[in-house]
Amino acid sequence: MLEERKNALEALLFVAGGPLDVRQAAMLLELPPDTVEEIAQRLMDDYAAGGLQIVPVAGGYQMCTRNEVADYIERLLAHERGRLSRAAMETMAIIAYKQPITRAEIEAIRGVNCDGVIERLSLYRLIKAVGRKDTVGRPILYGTTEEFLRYFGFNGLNDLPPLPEEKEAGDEKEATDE
Amino acid sequence: MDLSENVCIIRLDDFEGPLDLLLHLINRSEMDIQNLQMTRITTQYLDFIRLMEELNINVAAEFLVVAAELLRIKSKMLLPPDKEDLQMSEDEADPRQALAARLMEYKLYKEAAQAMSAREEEWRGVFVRHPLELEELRPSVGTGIADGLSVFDLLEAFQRVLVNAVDDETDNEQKIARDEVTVEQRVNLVLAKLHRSDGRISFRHLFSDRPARREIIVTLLAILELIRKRRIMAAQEKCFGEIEIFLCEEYVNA
Repeated sequence: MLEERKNALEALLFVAGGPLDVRQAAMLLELPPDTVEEIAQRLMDDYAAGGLQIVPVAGGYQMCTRNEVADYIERLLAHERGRLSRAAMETMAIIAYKQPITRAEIEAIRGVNCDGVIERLSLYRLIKAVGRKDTVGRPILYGTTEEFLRYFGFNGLNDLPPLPEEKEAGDEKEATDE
Repeated sequence: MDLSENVCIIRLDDFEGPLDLLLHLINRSEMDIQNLQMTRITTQYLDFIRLMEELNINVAAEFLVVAAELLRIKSKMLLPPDKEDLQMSEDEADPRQALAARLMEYKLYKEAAQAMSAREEEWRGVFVRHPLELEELRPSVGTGIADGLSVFDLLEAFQRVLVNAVDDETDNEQKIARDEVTVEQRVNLVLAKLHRSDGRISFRHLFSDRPARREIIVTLLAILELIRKRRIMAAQEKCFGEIEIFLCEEYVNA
């Protein structure tokens, strides 16, 4: 029976395209989440050698192609995938590690205006407004999206590699927040 | 000053901002961020700004803010400490402290960004199928009127008509434009055409075969006006499809 559910999960991942949430999969398959994770693991093992892979991402699973075959896919799509510019990546990193954060706070760290970069990151759906800060002008607070997790292949925010000096930076933040 | 320090290859897009430039200069001189040699770093920084100006590169205000800050710190260090400074601990009294903290923090995220770029590279070659458009699979209902048709769709349709337009302003002679048709007249014409065709007409058929530019524009304005007044509706069955204009129900028999 589990074999049948494994096939069903495989098919669900194919149809879903994007990440399929473990809880949603559990509901659809009428299985407890633990069992879903178990059969997902077996499915991942099945795919270990193919051109496709199943990866845990954004709190769920996703069927995607393997990095090694990217060249062929780019030929099919007739274009190469873009990369974030350095300015965009710096802003992305600041938002990822310090969210929720306002534009002014990002600009204070980078020392440059970040309007355009924030707009672009929002357009790519890598960041979104998550609220407003309770200070003068109630500025927008930015945070990361599920697309961000997918884009960088993170399973969750605690999947982010720790900053080398996270602790000191944390202390500093409290000190400068006064 | 050491001349060799002036010889550098500058790649401007390498610098994301004044802090980035400062970090670069500090690295190049192998200075310790916590113990900046202010005279040296300020000179290098200002030389760089001057070079940018000589090359007619628009120096962003942000670069000048940091230049001013460098000069302030440098001059403060030359002056004997004032009363306030004496009350503070040695670290706090160091005018370089705030700048050093900013640089350290910036450096932290710059490095984090580099790590994320590596991660991006790793995942850049991983492709996902687009989720099936579940909407598409469901049977379509009734009128086939697509919701969410925006003014932009209408403008696009407008552009398609415009392609066929006879350019009535090709000759260079300056003519004083005469209002041949007013929007109001067009409104009536559009309504008349709609009534004649049972309250439904395709956008394109509102125009003559080779319409003049002015005719197209006035017609578009008339349509927008009628939509605003809710006397007609515009609908499109599929993306980039033909746009159809309908009379709103209560006017069909009017």
